[in-house]
Amino acid sequence: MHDLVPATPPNPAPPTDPSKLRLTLDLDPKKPVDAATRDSILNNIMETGIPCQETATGNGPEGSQKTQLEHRQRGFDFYSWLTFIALNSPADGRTRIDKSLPNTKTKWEDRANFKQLLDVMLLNGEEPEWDKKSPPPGCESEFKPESDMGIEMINESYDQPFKTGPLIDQQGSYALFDILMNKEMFDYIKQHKLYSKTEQQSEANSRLKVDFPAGVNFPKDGTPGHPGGIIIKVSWKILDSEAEKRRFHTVDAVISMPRHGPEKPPCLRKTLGLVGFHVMHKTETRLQWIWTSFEHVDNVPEQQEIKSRKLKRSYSFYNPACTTCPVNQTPPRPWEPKQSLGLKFHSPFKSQIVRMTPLTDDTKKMNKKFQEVVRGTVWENYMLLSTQWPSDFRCAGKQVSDRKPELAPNTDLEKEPDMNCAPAPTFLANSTLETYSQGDSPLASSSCMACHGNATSYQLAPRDAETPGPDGKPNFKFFNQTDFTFMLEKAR
Amino acid sequence: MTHSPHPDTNSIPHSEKEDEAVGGGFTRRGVLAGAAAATAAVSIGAIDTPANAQTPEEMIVFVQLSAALTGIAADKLAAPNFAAAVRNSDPVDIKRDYFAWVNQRHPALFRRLLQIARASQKPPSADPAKTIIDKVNAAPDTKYLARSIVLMWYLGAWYDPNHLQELERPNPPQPKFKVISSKAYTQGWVWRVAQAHPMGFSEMQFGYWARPPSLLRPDFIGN
Amino acid sequence: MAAGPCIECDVAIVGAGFAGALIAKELNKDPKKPVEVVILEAGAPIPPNINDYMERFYTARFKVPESPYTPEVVDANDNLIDPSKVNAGRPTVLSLLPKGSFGDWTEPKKSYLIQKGPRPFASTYNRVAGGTQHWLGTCLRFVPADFRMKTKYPSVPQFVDWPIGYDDLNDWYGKAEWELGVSADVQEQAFLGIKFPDTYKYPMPKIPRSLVDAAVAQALRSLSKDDAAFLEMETSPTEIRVRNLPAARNSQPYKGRRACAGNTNCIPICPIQAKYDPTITLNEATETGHVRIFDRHVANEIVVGENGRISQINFIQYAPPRTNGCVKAKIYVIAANAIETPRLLLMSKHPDPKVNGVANSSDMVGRNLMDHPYYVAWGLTPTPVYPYRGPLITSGIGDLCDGPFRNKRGAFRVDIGNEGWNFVIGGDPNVTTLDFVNGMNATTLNDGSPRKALFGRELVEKLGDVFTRQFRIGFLVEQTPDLENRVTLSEIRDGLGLRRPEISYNLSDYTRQGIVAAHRMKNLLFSKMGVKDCTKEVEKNEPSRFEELIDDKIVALSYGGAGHIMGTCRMGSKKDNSVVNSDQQSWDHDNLYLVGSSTFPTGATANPTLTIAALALRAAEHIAKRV
Repeated sequence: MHDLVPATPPNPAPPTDPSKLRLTLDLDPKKPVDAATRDSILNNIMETGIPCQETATGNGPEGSQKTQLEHRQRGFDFYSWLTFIALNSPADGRTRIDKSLPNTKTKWEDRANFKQLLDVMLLNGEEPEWDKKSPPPGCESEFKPESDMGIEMINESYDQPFKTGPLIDQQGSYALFDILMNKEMFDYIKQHKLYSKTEQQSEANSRLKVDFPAGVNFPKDGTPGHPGGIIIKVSWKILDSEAEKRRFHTVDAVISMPRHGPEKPPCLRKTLGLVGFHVMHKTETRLQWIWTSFEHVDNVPEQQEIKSRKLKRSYSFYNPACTTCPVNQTPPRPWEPKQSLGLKFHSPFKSQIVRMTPLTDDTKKMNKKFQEVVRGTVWENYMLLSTQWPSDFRCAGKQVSDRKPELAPNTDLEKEPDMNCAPAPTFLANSTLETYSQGDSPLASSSCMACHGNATSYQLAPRDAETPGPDGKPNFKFFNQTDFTFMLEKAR
Repeated sequence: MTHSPHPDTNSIPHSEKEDEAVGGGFTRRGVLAGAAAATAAVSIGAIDTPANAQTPEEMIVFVQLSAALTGIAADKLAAPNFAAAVRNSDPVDIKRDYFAWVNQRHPALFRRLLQIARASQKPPSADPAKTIIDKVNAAPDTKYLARSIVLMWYLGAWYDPNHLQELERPNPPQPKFKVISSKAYTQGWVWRVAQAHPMGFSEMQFGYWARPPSLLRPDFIGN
Repeated sequence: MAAGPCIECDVAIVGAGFAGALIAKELNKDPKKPVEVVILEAGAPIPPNINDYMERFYTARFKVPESPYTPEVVDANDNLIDPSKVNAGRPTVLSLLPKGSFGDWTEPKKSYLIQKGPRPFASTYNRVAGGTQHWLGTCLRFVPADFRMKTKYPSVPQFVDWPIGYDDLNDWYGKAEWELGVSADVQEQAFLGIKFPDTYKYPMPKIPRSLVDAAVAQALRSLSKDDAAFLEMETSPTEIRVRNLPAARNSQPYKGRRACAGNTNCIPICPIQAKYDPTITLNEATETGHVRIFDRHVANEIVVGENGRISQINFIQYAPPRTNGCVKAKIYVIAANAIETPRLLLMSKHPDPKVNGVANSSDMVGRNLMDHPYYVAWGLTPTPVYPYRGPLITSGIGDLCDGPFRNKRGAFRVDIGNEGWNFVIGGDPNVTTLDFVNGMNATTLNDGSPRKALFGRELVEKLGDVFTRQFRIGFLVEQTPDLENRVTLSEIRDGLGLRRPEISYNLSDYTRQGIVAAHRMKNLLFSKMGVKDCTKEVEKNEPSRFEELIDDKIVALSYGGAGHIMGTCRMGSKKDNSVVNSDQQSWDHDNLYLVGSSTFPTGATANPTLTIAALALRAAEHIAKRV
């Protein structure tokens, strides 16, 4: 059962001056995390919530033995862990994450904070309301809005991006995928009616350059800081055994299977365990967003672990006993779940997945430390993969030269030659969310920013796009980029 | 080994040493001048991770040599616009691959080229790039290796210097080259000189081709 | 001799390309009426991602259309692999080079096709699941006159009429456009008689045109009557319109795929799959659960049983260990392209010993081989046009594709290239860069004495100036169906011991005059644009070289291949001079269908793929009624 008490404002003790707030974590593996450090980090996260804007410097421990890139990468990774903890902290706002239970509702699962994509992109482009959550079709009588996660399945709920394939766990069940957005994203989408395909194609929207809000700690006009756009993508595993339910963060879910035709699809009740967690966060200094990804530690082994046979007894998506199973292959077709089988795959096939790109040593060290911070809860079973961030800073924070306050954040969206501003690291893939595109082939292999940079909407060129401008030449200026998110193409 | 970098949850990032965009502003440090490759003001920064053979000083000199020979700004060859550009803030870091590639094939001749680049910094001249070019052109062996290096930066492919010499004679054979790697192909500079992108690798947006390109300098090749 | 029982199904298809994929999917569009389909594909399967394809492409020295795909074209030392050692080989443009050279077009150790001449057949194809996925993406409809060449232009003896016309295909074109996802605007595409149903819309708005397109359009905006008189149109045009090229390239998200990002790499592969390719349809087909693809299965014999009906197709499976097998079906479809389809038919025995090959009582199988001979020219524009940006081609000129001149010479369609000299000079930017770094003159641009060998800023200025002004134009020329242009079987074999295709090929005078007209068009365009013509003189040993008298001067011309292989199993209304009827059904064997561009009786000037797709969907409807 989830904690039913709604989120309350933070503890009324005099708040720390936010501009003086410092959070530190000693990464020395020989020094265990002490209570004071744990308190400092977790209390402050609970009080101040998710960081609005990041800081990453080019200096740090091991000073000149690390490159600037490595220092900054650590800074961003640190920020990602703070983000992860903040988002997964109990929704009530009073319980610290290290006191949470496996099934304690997290901040992002609370519909006051985040909303699922299909609850925004409604059928027939209906206008969404932040507070409304309809039960998934076919689940009207099952769904308990206060305690259940409701999932309406579409192709993308089980088939990875660009239809690269489903992921089948070692118990033969489909992994499920879902996307959520925060209120700032929702407000922008609603304001510009981007939830409707027809409205995206309106004359008014033909001149809109989609530019989502950017997080800032101390806006120049003295207004309070705000987080900016945050989008989350999660992958879930269906949990059957009680033992498993103790190792994962879980949620009670009510799921309607993909529908065919007018009949109501079957409705299933399942306990889901979190196995993958992407966050994208737009801030004023990283207008190309900051991209991070976490996984459950039991998901898959790394290549090196297989070579040295240092394997766990079991993984969610890998069978250590099978040395001949082909690796990273897609399941046999058909891929769509058969309604009669619930969410079990139609053949005995199980995905045999290996992580192609190992985590760096720095990341592994940081993971160990943060896992200590949250020790005693299921959250110690999660690890950061990496953070992808735009490393060309002049490019990353570039705003248009004629800034207009009403068009904040005024991102300069038309950069050449590299609109992604040199992503670091170049490639990043989550073994549960980009399972089949792992690798280091430019453009073909998974890179958050290289791929999301291609996201466009249904916006049309303005009617006068081809009329000549003052110089006599047609000014075919038209812009349909969606600021790095594929959400807008799901408008119905 | 004490504290980790401590990202403040609340302060706007800035540092007098770093080239970071602050809010909407631009950097306070200027971009390194490209043609004047004598950016000796750059301090030797981070020691590169142990796996690599070259010293940081050699890497800086290699970048200066390459900038002079190719005409592309040094800070573009070395990294996206971090101020201390050669302190390795480049996620792609093709310069490392290139250094290793040339060093492996022509170590002694390569050192001579690096020495030419070093020597051209002092005494400081009005046009160090020209000094480097003139010196390099003075002997056939340095000349052809320099050309191989230029082609490497421009095309991501290796044309052997002896082969280049062969190609200049009458009745030359078909030019032969080897693409160094897929990464190198996508980092070719010729495409940016053309204000475009490598065919098969665009980091631009739908419809960009209907508009004139951004500026050659500074956007595509630095200053 | 088959080992074990045959694979059984309702419909067996040979070839997992455009036609095969669309038919397999179309037959299973109603889940309540499934049709069990087996596809035999000679090449490798669909990979889970395109990592390997992209790696192969990025590191290829010769970035030819074949370069990303298997089988490999060159070995680790960049030597051409001997086709007699390849199990399911295919031609490459690298083996279209002069006699005695690296890619000698007449040398069977280099050229998969045994080319008998007198001229080289210059087009290539893939043999891999997905077929011609290296295509550009162009989706043009034929104009109505294209279907009626004999009726409209009776003075050209080679022409025949199609047994169907534009009106028969209008709706099928629309279905094909929605299946592939074509971006275009209807108003702009209604020319030369092309018409659309009243409420018809293309699935996506047109792809924005490039700056190069704008420069060409500007130059052709006001012509004198004399300028264009040579074209011998109905009336001499005073403006020649540049139109957007309809393409199966997303201008918006479509069916879960991204919109174009201008990778300028459509041929050979789009790194983000914004361009449609048949693996998309193959995946949708297998997703139904009723379509199975057997990769590395080379069909080597069609077996004819009772009543002239096909009883089975035998194949060789070459993933080790090699095995033989067979497939039995109610209906058989050969969709293996216009060279491999006749090859298979000719390798198989007709019940009548006097007939050479299955389905060949007309003796037309393998005959009337057509391409669109591709004429190119290039130069430097006076001011920058910024090539190497956007899709390879975004606009063209189609208004010159029909007119009274067609009684005397082939028509041509104009391709405006966005990729500078990449295609025409043998691999720019490498060639031009090498010229100015190493003091060479392969491009003719470095023609001073001494030649320039530049470093530093001078090099940047020079290359920046040259590359931003590179311009190239291409012409797809109409070829007549000639009986002696044909595919037969050679005695020389491939890696499976099967007889390789032997090609006899020539250009008729009608076609050569079409190239001459294209040459004149190039001159007009270049003069109006102020382009400095840098087209290299055709070498004496260039295999496709020919000479024509143009305005009292001998001009040497050459041609390439457009990749449009057509005509070798043509459709007709009578069985004595055609291979299939208007449903693409064999006259000889009532359960055999031959699909793809091999059935085109004439080739016109439009890229064939959209017509292949429309005909495939139409054939699928016919087949579905009989299964």
